[in-house]
Amino acid sequence: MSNLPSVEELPEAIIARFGTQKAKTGNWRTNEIEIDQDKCDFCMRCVVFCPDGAIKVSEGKLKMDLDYCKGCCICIEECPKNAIKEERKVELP
Amino acid sequence: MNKIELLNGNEAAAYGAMLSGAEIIPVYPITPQTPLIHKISEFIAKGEFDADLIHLESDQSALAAAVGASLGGARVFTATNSQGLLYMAEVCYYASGLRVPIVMAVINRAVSSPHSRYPDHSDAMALKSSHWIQLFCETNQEVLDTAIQMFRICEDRRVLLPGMFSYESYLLSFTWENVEVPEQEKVRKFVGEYNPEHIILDPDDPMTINAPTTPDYLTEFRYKQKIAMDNALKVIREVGKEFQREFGRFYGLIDPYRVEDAEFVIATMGTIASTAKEVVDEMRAEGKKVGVLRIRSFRPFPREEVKKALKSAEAVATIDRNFSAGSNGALYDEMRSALYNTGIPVKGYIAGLGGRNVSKNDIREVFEDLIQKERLEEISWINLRG
Repeated sequence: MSNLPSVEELPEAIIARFGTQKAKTGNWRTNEIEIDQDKCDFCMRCVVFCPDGAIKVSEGKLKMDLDYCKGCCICIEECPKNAIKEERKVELP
Repeated sequence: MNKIELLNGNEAAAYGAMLSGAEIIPVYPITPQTPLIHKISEFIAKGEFDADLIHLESDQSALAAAVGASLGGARVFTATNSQGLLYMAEVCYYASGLRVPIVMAVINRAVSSPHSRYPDHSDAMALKSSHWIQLFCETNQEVLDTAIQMFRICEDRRVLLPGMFSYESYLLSFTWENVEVPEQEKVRKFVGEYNPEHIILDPDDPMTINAPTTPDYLTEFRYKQKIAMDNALKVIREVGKEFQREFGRFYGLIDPYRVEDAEFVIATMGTIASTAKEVVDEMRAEGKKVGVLRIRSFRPFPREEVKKALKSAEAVATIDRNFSAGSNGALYDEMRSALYNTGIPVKGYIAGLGGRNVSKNDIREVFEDLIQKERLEEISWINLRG
């Protein structure tokens, strides 16, 4: 909590002078999503279907941006090569 | 030259909005608020008032439009009551959370069912936790003056909250009184310009408003509303004093009448106070030390001022023109809380619901109860057919 803005530092109302990119929502996730680069054939279906735009192209590879991935697993459902795996980070009750 | 006009409460509120220079007035008609809108339309039609009166398809849309207009930087006025206010309820919280200083007249009317068009504070009381400033008026002069003050209070940088000023239907809304109408130029100078910096829709400086927050943020934003409301205590007093210097009439957070040395005090809001003040004069002539404490500012509730004003009181009665089943009248709860640990007993009365008359005799009986220390710490309903 310590690096969050204090009452005084916050503006009067909830405003953002930036896009939603600065609102990192990856901590909503209770799992880890990983792309197996050996199985991935770069078809980009996951990029299109990801509701958070959390799959980025980097150095010719697809990578999960864990700052934004909320762990919905739609990419796993859509991947024709079964290249994406989910691992539980937190045991749900 | 100030002119004296014969005005009802609605017309007085319309004058207040015009003199203060409201720019956008989104409305939806409802009895008893409608004549206020007529008067504003008349001002605009005559070319006396340069404002946009927007008719929306509902009360909720009217307040939503008010929020939008205020976000655009306009000075915004609107008015409603009873069912209309409750239909606005959701948007009321948006307005206070977005810190847009909308000024709204609430012409207190009972909330159905049973259906009623008569005076009752239950509409405004339903929104006592919506983080709006809430002032309650006693006379039509006060309605006009409070409308002017409200813009100053709400737009103050230390406050930046929306505000409702309330006056009872029929008893003020449809009753004509002599009202001194101040000069427009003088009022405009008093109110000043509204130049928001904290939140504004500007294509050259885009911002996201009302962004969703994680649990990391809402507590702090709520606390900022608390600070603003605490600041409003000071600002209401300051604006009251400055208004007195300019226009000669003073209104503060509370309106104590012969309370200074009073042993038995009735605390109430709105027009019941007028009747009670007359009874106080009569009973003072009989040698009884009685007084009336009219609460003008219900939000913020001026606990410290109330405590200070009642320092010589032996017992206090509250008269509430509102009731919450399963609990009490709203003023009773606030007064008990303010006087906690002072040892002053507070007796609650429910009266005047749905426009039932509260007579001088009723007030006298309340004072007699206090003097005889009858069933203190209880709630009584005045004129209930048991």
